[in-house]
Amino acid sequence: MSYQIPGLPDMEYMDRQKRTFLTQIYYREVARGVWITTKHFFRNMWKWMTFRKGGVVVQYPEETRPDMSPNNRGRHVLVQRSNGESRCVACQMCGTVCPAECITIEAEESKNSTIQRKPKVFDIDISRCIFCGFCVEACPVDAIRMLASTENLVGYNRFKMIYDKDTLLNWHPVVNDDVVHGYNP
Amino acid sequence: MKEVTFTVDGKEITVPEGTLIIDACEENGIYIPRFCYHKHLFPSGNCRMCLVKIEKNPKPQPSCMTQVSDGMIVYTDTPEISEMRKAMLEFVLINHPLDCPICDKAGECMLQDQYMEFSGDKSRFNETKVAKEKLYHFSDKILYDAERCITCSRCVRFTEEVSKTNKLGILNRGDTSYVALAHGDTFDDPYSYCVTDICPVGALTSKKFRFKERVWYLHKTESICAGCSRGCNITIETKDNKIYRVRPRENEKVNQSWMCDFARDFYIDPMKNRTSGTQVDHKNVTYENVVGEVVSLLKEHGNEMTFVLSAYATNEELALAKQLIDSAEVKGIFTKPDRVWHEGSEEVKSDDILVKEDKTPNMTGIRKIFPAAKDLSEMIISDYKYAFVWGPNAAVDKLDGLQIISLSAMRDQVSDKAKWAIAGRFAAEKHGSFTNCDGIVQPFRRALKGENNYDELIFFVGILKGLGVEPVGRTVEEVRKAAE
Amino acid sequence: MESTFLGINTVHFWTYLFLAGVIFLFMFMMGAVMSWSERKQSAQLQDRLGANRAAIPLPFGKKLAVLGFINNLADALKCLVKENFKPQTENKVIYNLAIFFAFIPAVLSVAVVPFAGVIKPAELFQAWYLKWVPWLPEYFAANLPDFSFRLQVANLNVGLLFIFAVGGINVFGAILAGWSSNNKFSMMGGMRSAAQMISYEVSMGLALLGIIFIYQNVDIWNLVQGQSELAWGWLPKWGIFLQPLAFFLFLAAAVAENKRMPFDLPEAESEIIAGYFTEYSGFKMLLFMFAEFIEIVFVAIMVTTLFFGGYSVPWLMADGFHFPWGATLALSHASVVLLQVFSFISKVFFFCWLLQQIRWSLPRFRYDQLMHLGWKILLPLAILNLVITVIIVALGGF
Repeated sequence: MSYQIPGLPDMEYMDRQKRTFLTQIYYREVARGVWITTKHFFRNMWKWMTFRKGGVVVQYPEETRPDMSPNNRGRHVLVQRSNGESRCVACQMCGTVCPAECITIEAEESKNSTIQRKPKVFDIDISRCIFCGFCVEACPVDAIRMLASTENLVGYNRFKMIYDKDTLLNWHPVVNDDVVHGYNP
Repeated sequence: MKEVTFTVDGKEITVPEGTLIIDACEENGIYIPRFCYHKHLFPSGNCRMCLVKIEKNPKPQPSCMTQVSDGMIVYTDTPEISEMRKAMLEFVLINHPLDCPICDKAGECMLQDQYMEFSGDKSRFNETKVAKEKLYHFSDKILYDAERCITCSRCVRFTEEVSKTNKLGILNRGDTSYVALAHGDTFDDPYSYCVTDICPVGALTSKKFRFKERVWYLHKTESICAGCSRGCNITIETKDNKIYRVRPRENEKVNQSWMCDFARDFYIDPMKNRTSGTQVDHKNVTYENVVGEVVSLLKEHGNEMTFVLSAYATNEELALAKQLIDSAEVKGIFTKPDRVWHEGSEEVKSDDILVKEDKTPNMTGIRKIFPAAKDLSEMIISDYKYAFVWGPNAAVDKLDGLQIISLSAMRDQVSDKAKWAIAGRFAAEKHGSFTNCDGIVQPFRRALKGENNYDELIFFVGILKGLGVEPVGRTVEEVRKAAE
Repeated sequence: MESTFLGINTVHFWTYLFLAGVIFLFMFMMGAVMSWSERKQSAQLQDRLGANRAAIPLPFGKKLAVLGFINNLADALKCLVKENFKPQTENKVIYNLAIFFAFIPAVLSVAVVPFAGVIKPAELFQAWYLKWVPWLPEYFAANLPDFSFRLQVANLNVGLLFIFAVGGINVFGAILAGWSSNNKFSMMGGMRSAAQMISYEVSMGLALLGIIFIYQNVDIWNLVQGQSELAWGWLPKWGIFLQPLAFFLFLAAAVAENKRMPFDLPEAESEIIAGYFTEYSGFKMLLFMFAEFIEIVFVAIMVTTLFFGGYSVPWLMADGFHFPWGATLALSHASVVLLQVFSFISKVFFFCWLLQQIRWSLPRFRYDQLMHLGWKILLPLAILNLVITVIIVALGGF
């Protein structure tokens, strides 16, 4: 199969098979396709009949994958200062870069004059979040991070899926170097 | 005036004699970076950012201090110049803190913009930055951060040349220099917010706007100030139908780049005492009902009615009002100042810079469209039975015994007393144009939705249709076109 | 003895009414099963688990999900309580009529398909495993010893034509729905479905002409009877053996008639939302979907009946198996009938499975590919098949 563009030599798709009548009437190709899916179908059915799990999917809220990458972008957390306050300065970089627009921040004056600015409200609507990790990359003070864990990011009430500042801060009872694990661009 | 021709980057430019290179270039689309130069301030040439190469000159020259001369050949973008700009930015950034995340100026900061455009280099400065006062309270309006300051002296020149209070000055030398007030003084200047606008970095910030919103979220609407008859050109910056701040817009003929402090608050605060919806006898009724009742009133009692005009009205609304008054044969046309200066208010009564004594934006427009309109104080009550009162601040004792139709954005005694009350819109909530004290007609756009209030223009169109008269136009644009 | 009801023999009336009810119910059940298998089968062949979340809570924290069947119940419930959205500018009569045009033909066509051979009730209840049935055996033995009927709702001698006629109404459903919704996407869907269904109806009809020529009949009962015979003493005269090409042509054309993947251009959701039923919501949408599922079953029934001998089991005669190598296995009348019904239903199930498998394995055709396949490949092949068949039949083959 070739077509001519004026002023160019004959061009040909290098990776395209020649279309014969047999491929044009589709039956053989359809049969090949159906054969592949049928193999999968019967393999999974056989597994099911012998009381094993058929599909490769994970039943998410109840099960979690054991082979989760340490770089997985999971739950958001806010990093704390040594006095337990958020490291966030409410600069709105994460909110600006967020493609899902799920971060709501309101700033207020901090009592500490060297910090000056701190968040009064820091909400992440986890039901809208697409876990792209842009907020982590955008943060100039390394205040927001993502854990590898994706446990319990579900809910029956969408208002309960808006994580406020306290929820985001209370994520790890012990503060040590280990907390840096997670998405680290 | 004599014209001179010179060459910039191989482009022939003709400008009047005495023009600065930086202005001549900007008019012709070549932007020369600058910090200290401001169009409406006297150039000082201290930031060295606007250096350009002039042929036959051994060293680069500051374009903000050099006037154009005939046959001059200027280069603004040679490798030498861009190297010099990089070096200048590096000098400026030596002691400039990395405060952008907490700085209100971030997003409209000249230093940020010019660093991104002309440098982008990493800092080579490993030593400790000079620490200075971070929270210097100039007044209860202005906060000064000495670390962020690049001592361009724009604010100092502003107080010297424009507001003429001479409050600010630069203390010390070199990397310890900073802008300061006299000992024990406060920066109580009626134009003090202007220094936050002209500050190229985030050193001078408004306390009112501090940490309220990031500037890139604000939606900017071009508008005209309704604070006095000067009609300063302003930009109303809103987000989610709320005004966050008001800033001056450049207009050479009216306000240059300035506006007064009072007007900035005027747009944010006055909304507390607003009318809302439509009422007949203090009961909420539908808008259509009120329009119907007003139409029948005008039909039957037009010759017993007095029409009190509002100086907050736009020219387009006044044109429709004129059509209405003519067609309903309304007997008396009066006008009133919608806002007056009170003794003891923070506001300046009038000055030589911008503020005028007439605190309404469109009295000139009324005089132009209704030359016969007299002041409300001259009215003889016994001639009338009904009063159509448009806008706030009509003297309530002058209207005793009349049945009042009130069309006002603000609540006052008249709108409370009115039998028919329609909530009108404030200047920020409608399209239109004002004619300022010098007779300049300036159009403006709507910044807020004004959800519970009704556009006067549409109200008048409705009434005219009810009277069986074809209005000259149904939108601001149509009325404007018909007026021409 | 011979009582009549509205001029019909009372026993006949009740028998056929009962039969119609059973088959109607069967089609609906199959529709439900298809909507279930749409989820579960697709999941299995894509290495997923499929619907399993909707469940009835039981005590002690247990949940009853019944392999995802509860999802179907939840679906039906959801569609019942959903807002019944109506487009403001629709043509109300046609808008509501379109659903029935789409839904009724799918169920109606099954009437002429035989599900098993002749049933003699008096003999049927003689089988040892049916003797427990109260009253009926005695009633039939005493009153109607010679009564027999076919397991077929309508005994039409133009059965195949009836199917085509009723199936042709189907296209009106899509066109009227698309037109009356007053929506561009609906209109496009309706137009596409009209073009596609009419194009493929031609090839489908021509492919089936071969079958008609061979068995010299358009009565479905006689077609199945013809397929029950043996060629050369051992090969069942099934349509697939005598008309292999027609089978493939018919299968492709029938899938296209059904508007299923890979021919689902009338409702291509990535291009035109949901095609002709974009503006239908709630239970009306469900009826369109249900009609589609029932149509799958009907296509499977057609393939079974016309190409795989219908209810016939190879070498099974009225009195039991007669194997070609001479062995015989005598069976009671009830066993034969049950074997026939089982054979029919298992064939139908297999083809339902196959159609689902094709639907979930293939991507959608481009529109020009669709038309190319229909007019330039299926139609010439169908004509070729017809010509060859006619020549062979004229020369006295088979």
